[in-house]
Amino acid sequence: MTKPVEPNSFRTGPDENGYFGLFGGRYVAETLMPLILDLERAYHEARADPAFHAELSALNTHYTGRPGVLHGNRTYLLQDDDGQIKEGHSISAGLDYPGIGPEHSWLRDTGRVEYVPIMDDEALEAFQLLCRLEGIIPALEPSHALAEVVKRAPKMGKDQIIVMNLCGRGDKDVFTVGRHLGYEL
Amino acid sequence: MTTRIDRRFAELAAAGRPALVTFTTAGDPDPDTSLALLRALPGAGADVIELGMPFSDPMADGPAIQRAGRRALSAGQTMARTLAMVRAFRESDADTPIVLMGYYNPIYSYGNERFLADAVAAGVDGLIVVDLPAEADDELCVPALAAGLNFVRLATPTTDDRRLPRLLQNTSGFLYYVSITGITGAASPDPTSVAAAVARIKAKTRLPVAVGFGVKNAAQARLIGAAADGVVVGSALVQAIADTLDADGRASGHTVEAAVGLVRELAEGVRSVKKSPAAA
Repeated sequence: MTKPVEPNSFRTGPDENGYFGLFGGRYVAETLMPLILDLERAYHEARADPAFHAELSALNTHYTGRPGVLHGNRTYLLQDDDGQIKEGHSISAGLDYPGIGPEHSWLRDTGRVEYVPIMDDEALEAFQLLCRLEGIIPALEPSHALAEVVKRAPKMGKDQIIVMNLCGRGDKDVFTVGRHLGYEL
Repeated sequence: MTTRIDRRFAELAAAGRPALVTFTTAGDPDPDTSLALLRALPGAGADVIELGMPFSDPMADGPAIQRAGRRALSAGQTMARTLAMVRAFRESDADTPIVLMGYYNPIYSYGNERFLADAVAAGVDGLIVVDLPAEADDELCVPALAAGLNFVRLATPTTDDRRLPRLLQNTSGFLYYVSITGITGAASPDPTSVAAAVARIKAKTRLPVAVGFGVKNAAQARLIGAAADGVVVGSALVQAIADTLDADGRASGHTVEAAVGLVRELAEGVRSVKKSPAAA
């Protein structure tokens, strides 16, 4: 019987057969397997690509601050050279904070997740796009993710799939959006 | 290890009176005025000096100290300048203890090791870091103690008997009892409940207990001082500075004198307390 090498499988990941130590085997619909294997390949390529790391590092320098401690947690913070917290800004209330969730900091540092910046106007565009095309009012927070999808999709093959997590509903945001678009609601 | 703070509280206990602990924000309203005031504090009767390290997000402080921090930061105050201020003060005062008080991020940003080394070299005696709980002692508290600094912690009316020992574990110099549940400079403390709280804390520790948050004048300082080993006055002092500033927030000719005058009154209040002298 094999023994788990590392208890923290999130950090080490499963082996090439999908095993976390002695536990595992893939429990995935057969039709999704090619996509998952593609995703894995892209992930490993990006991790090994110096150009990717350079881009990520540049974005981190300009957009995600550096580790600091605020409100009882250590996380990436917008701050000046002396550790004074900078004013964050976002059109969405849920993102208008000078820091990010500590787990995101960790995912970023371990290289599991790539974070990209999205501007207010891009999020507003994406918000309207989803309303028009799908009749779904997204929250302003995931509208940022949607804006990134809009940027990436045209560069991808027709058979490639993007999964986007639309984590909120925009009925709470219609007044904010209305104000920005010049409507009095 | 005996520090300036230990020695000062022992002297005052032997003399049978409480300590006057003053708080001002480093660099408020500007570096020169702030240093001039710092130098004048011991002569006016401050026994222990708390010097605030300004921070953009001072979540434990009320409006008066928040504004002081903003004034200092707009006047260009940095951690390096705060440490330089202590160094300058030490050139002419070798005995008055200085406690740097503030929040963790500016220290963390400066670099913990570098900060501790520079603080010790500048002549700092203790630290109060409001947003570092006992659970984070390995972060800064334990290294600070190892560097020879006192690490002063805050206890509040909601610190119960289960929490108190944990909090006292690595506290040194003195314990700062926050007399109200709230921010600095808010409600005035009630001397009876303060006396009860101080007695409860002193049953658990030999450390001196200083009481603050809301002490505004000599009469209050006297009442609170009778029940504690020290009285901390911050917001009232910082407000006295603010009251002398011009419309643009700049110091006027009498800024230092106004603050010094209040410290003199407070010192009279504290010095009128007669306790039976304790063995040092």
